[in-house]
Amino acid sequence: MSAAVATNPADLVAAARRGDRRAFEALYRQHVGAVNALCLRLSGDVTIAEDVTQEVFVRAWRKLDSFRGDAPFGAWLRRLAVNAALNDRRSHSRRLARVVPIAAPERAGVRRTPGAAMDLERAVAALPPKARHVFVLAAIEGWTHAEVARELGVTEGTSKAQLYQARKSLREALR
Amino acid sequence: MNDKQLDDLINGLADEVAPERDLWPDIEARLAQPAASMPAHRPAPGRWWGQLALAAAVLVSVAAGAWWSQTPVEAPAAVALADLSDDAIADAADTGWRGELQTADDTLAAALDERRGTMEPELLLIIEQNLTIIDDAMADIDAAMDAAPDDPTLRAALIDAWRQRIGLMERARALTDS
Repeated sequence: MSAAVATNPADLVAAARRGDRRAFEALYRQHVGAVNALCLRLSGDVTIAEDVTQEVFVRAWRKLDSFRGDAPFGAWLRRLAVNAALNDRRSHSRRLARVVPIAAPERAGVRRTPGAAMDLERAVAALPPKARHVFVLAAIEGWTHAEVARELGVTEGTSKAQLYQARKSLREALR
Repeated sequence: MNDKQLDDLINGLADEVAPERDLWPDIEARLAQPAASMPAHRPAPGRWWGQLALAAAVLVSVAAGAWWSQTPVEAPAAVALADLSDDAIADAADTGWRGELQTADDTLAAALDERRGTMEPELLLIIEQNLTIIDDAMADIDAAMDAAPDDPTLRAALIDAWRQRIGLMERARALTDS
């Protein structure tokens, strides 16, 4: 008989650090929806989002020792997700997305979100990448412009301008 | 729509969006691999061109890995640089190799789009796997060039990887045309 897997986040993290993959799988099950949502909004593509989400959890496993517990595990994962989504240099996913058949409406990745929220998800996905990144981080994730600017390597003024343009585009797209 | 309505929509977005498929099996398989290992998938036997492309791509990837790990910058014998003159390297860089790569991507996508209906899934998978390996090499070289953007050896390696990519695509297109 196999040992029971803890459900407390701190216990799961501790067990995962000791190499317990079942504990890490439990952490994956708890957080995959939030991580995938963030990756989906940053990338605007289901295929890329799933690829980056997978990468996030692989990186998390390998970096577990660097998780100090100062912030919730979910917040640490989200930070990894932002880094992975914005620094995805491999471009394999983008190329794969071209190769694999794409049915545009379904690939927007927002089927589970009804009505106007779905329209917003699609409109966000259609934003230019830089504007989308600023919008997701500032308007959805709640980052300050200073944080966004630091992450994206732009000035705070640029971040504000991108957010203004993104919001304007979204209002027009959703009217 | 006004700002208030937009804010209401933003606040109503779902906190979670589950992936369309369970990612755990693929994640678990990767957890078992060393961090720097190559992708687990390999082309099926009997595809000579795929194996050739894979072998060539792996050589580039290994070479790029050596640079990235900050070992002394020295052109590995596996990378065929001898026939690249300094002028050719400079020309390739100056004319925008990134643009060339994008064009190559577009060419492959267009070719595959035209042939997807008649292409064997196995063949599509092999193409994808080989592109991934070459992409890994290019990403390594690209990252190394952040620290040494004018390094002629890195630049030559990138051009070489690009050539391999084009070669792979040409083989793929020729095979699907036959």
